[in-house]
Parts: sequence; C-alpha cells; structure tokens
Amino acid sequence: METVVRAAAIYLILFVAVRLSGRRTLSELTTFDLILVLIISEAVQQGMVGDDYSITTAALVVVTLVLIDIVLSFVKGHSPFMQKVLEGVPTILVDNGKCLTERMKKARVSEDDIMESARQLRGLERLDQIKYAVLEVGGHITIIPAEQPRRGD
Amino acid sequence: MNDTFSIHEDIDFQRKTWIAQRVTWAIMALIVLAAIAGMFGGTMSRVERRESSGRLSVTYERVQRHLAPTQVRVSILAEGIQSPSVQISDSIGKVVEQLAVMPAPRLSTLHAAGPIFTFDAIPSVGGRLDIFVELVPISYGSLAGEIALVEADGRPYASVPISVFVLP
Repeated sequence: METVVRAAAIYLILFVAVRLSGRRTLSELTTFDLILVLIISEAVQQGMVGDDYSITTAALVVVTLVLIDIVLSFVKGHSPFMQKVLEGVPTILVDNGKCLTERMKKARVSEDDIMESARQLRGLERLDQIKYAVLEVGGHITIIPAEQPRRGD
Repeated sequence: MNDTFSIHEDIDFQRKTWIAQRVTWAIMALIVLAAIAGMFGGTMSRVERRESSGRLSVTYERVQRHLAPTQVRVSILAEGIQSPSVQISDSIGKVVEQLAVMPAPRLSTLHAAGPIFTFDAIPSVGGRLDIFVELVPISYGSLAGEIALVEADGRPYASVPISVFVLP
C-alpha cells in the first residue's frame, strides 16, 4: 500500500511541478533542462521506493505509474475539458506578421525564439513572412508561413 | 479560429493557466523559503530543551522526515554521578529505529517506560557528558515523549519533554 501511495504521490508532484512551471520548461532539452531531468530522476527515486530495493516494490512502482498514465489518457480522451487541464491548449503568438506581445510575455517567448523556429522549420527570414506562429502544448513553436503572392497578381 | 485550418486555441483558458502558473511559482518560492527556515526539518529546526535545574538538556530537530536519520544530543551534568542513566520514553522508542548511541553505553536495559542506557561518567569540561543518539523515525505525524535521567531502579529524577513532527 505504501509503495503505491509513494509512487502516486511522486507522480502527482512531478506532474503539477512540470505542468505549472510553464510550457517552455523542458520543451527542448538544453543543457540546463538535461541537468534538471537527470537530477529530478535521482531525487524522486528514493522517495518512491524508500529503503526497499526488492523486485516486488520496483514492479509495484512501475505498474502504479503506468496505470496512472493509462487512466489519465482515458480521462483525456473522454473529456475535452480534462484534456485542456492536463495538456494545455495551443496559443497563437504571431498573427499575420504581427507579434501578440502580451501573450508572448506571459508565455515567456521572445521574438528571437519565434524567428529561430521560423528559420529552422521554414527557412523564413522576416516576421512579415509568418502568417501564424503557434506555441503548441508541448512547448515547441510551429510556423505557418504567409501565402506568397502569385506572379502576375 | 482561422478558417483555412483549425487551431483549437482557447485564450480564456490559457489566461487562467498563466495565472495558475504564477501562483504556483509563488508557492514554490514560499516552499523553498520555508525549507531554509527549517519548517521541513534540518539544522534550522534544531531546538534545545533544558530541565529546570540544568542537570539535563536535550537538543533535537523539531521537524523531522520519515526514514531520514536525525541526531539527538543529550547533555548531562555528570558531576557527582557515578553511572548516569538516560531513559528514552517508550512513546518515542517504539516509533524510531535507533542506529547508534555515542559514547557506547556500558549497559542497555529494557524497561516498561522505555529503554535505559547507563554510561560510565567521562570527565569533561565543566563536568558535562554529551551523549549522541542517531535515530530514524519510522512513523509519521506528531511524536511526543521525554528523555530522563533515572536512578538505578528506573525512577526518573530529571526529565525533558520533547515533541517532534515527522513529515512523510
């Protein structure tokens, strides 16, 4: 019983901390993010198993975590509201070449971040070449290029 | 929503999420400050309790953590006492694992009110004898008990109440 409670409690704490830390955290593994992932995994391991290193406890922890994951994906699939709560929603940051600065500030995304994605994904050079820049639920930025004017238009 | 393809944006929900994030950041900062102040155990939560005559004092962490080792210092005015005996009340003894007692007691006795450790008096500055007990709490929640100096027959003649809270 204690093993299941420990595993579930650690899962919940990690979920809340990562979900509410902001989408940009851990979206791309920079050096800082990689260090964070490695340290977090070490910090929670002891909290989940305590001083019990048996195969039984390890199996219980794995089963508990996988089951929580399955239950949450079931809940997400059946409740659009819960899907928003658990995963978040995409947010438009650039609309037809114009930066939505209030949203960018709240999302902690700079114009440089958007232009980096635009160059990487679409080879775009300027902001006015972007129709939409969307901050996705996973923390990455997708770029919809502006329609190019046709020759002769 | 764009009419050529769908971006399922919900800016009202997103604004509420941003507020929730900022509240969470503030809570995280408060948690770290509380930890620094000793509210989750550690050095900052250490307190010293003295018996009224000054013969006995106990220094311990007021907030402890489940399965985390902690050290209790029992300081005795050993002058004139040939073999000081220290008793840890049963209410504490049964919810901790005792790892080590230093200096090693000459005799350990099981008593109904709690284990008794008898030491050889060791000359020290000012006649005080410091005993260090390493404990590991194996229970959660509030723990209350006392540490006492006892006679050879187990009757306490000086005691210090201690109260700890064990976090999961």
